[in-house]
Amino acid sequence: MRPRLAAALALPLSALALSGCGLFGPATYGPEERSIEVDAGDEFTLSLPASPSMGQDWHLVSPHPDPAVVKRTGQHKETEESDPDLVGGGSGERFFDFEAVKSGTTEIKLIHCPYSSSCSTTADNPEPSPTSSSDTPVPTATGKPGTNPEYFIYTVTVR
Amino acid sequence: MPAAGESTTDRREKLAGYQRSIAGADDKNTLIEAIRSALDVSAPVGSPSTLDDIAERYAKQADAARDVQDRVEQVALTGLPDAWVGSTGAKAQEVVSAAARAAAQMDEAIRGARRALILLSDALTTAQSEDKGGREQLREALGMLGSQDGFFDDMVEKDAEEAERLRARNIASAGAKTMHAAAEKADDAAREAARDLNKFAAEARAGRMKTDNISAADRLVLADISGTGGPAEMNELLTANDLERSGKAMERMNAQDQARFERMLAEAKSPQERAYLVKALAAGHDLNEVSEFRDKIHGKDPAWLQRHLTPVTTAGDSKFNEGLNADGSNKNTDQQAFKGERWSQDAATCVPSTVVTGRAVVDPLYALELTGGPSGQEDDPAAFRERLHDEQMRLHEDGDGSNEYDFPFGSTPAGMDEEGKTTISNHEMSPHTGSEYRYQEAASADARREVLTDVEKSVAEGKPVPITVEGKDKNGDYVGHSMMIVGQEGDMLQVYNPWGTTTWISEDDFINGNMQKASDNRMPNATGVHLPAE
Repeated sequence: MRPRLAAALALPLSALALSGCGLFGPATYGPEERSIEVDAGDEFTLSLPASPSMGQDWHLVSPHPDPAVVKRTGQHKETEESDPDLVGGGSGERFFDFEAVKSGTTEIKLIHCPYSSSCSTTADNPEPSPTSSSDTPVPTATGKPGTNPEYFIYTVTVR
Repeated sequence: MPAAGESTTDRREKLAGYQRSIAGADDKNTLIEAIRSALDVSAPVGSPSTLDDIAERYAKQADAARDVQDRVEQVALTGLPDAWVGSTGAKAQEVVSAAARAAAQMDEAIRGARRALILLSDALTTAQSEDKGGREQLREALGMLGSQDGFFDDMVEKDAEEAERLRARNIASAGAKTMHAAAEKADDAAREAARDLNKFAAEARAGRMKTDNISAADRLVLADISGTGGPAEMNELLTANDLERSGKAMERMNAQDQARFERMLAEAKSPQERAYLVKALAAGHDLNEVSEFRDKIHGKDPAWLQRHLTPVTTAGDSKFNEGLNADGSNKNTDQQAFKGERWSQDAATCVPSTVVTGRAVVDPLYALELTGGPSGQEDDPAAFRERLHDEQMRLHEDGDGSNEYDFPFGSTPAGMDEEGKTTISNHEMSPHTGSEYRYQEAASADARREVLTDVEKSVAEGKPVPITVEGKDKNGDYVGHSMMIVGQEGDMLQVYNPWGTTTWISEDDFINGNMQKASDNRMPNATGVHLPAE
């Protein structure tokens, strides 16, 4: 077993994600915390695993959240490089940032693409969808991220 | 005579280096040394006339094979009674059909081998002639340069001397280029011939099962049985290695065990059931284990057997070139799944996941444990995923994989080094193929070219070859991944990716850094392979 001290000492984002709150910034929610309650004016972030060795990623898809209730303010990905002696290492996370605008309820819909090439776009459909026809129709996730493309639907209630 | 151990690839590499040395030589002595080094590299070795003679003999044998094929097909067409002819339950019609296909394959193999030898002979003739021309140019350049300069001669070079040296260098460069091109031609032709001949030898599978315990008719039928997931010729259930190992296992049995195994084969409800019993024996299991396995699969239909026991199947259209996705991967990929749940990695476990699938490919008892559970009767993809996950984690531990700690929630896998991959390949796959795996670095095009013939021979015999690929992401960060070569047809390689897919790439893609076709554009280069020993 080869523990990675740096990673162990760093405060992992997933720890924050599962708590549903941020110690130093906006509240952060992980893939299994899909019911969100925030106050108007609050900022919050969805933080999702994006393993570089798997080419795992997430995309915001339609229907997009009601802009009168929730406004998207940005998205980015953070990755940690693997030790070159290790095959298939490295870690990463995809972040979607939002701001609660005013009271109401809306949904944020993401597609989880577990592997590189799991999802792709076409000229007719610029929104990422499963590359393989055997992955359609896309189911809605009920548990943690799996190994087939799935929709993750977050319900956001702004107080 | 060639230097001891000098392969066609060695010659090609050396001449590429000397060609550069000659072009870059900026003084007389350096140029003379580089030319002499190039001349020391042996000419392409081999006798085209001997190859032509062998090809001619093959032509006659091919005619004989065609005659056999025609006559057997006539028998097959006339129809046969549903009579039992073999000791393992093979029916007369099955035997004749298998014989007809074996004769057709033999005809194809002999003609293919003849063609491979003629192509090699032609390429060798051209390469030897071109090499000779290149050498003449090098000798001409040496003649122009004369003897090497002494210490004081070297201090001053007159204009006329310089002009002559540059003229000699141009001639030598052209000669070295010609010799290098000839070496490339000879190397490519030798590798292609070796690949094709190895493949034809591996496809002559019925002959690999050297045992008298079952009849030639039964052996013929066994070698011909295929799964249901795609065209028969791309999904044969028993590899050359399976047939060889099962034959040896039968030879080692006492009379009582022989009779017991023969009875299992005779009672099989389908040819596929019979083939999986033989595969179980080939995988090194004793007769009690095979018997327990038989009880679990007895009477299942061929589709059930394929789903539970064969992780990788090959679709008929899988080799069509459908272009590339935006990330550089092939559009034409086959999902390898058990009732929709892929044979794919969970988390950063590409190395153990490669080996888990590799073992399931060669060991049907292991495949059934994963798909069918302890009873072997389950058909639940969610339960399969759970068992697959547990197995990937077990191998991650066994291979001393790295972990990332996620305080306070425990740890997650974070890759494995090549040493760990060797360990788990030997723990999991070797006992079932009979070949120990060793790591061979192949980080350059020349190294990959060198190793390719061994990779293709292993795969043709039915021994999967795990490989490592790597590259950089758009931030310049290192990304590495594990995959496995599981099939070979002509100059194409079938690659399993533990993302749960297979796809075909060319030899050229493997050698020249286009492995992104089997993954994505972050990882174009194969850097090493785990080769099963002979």
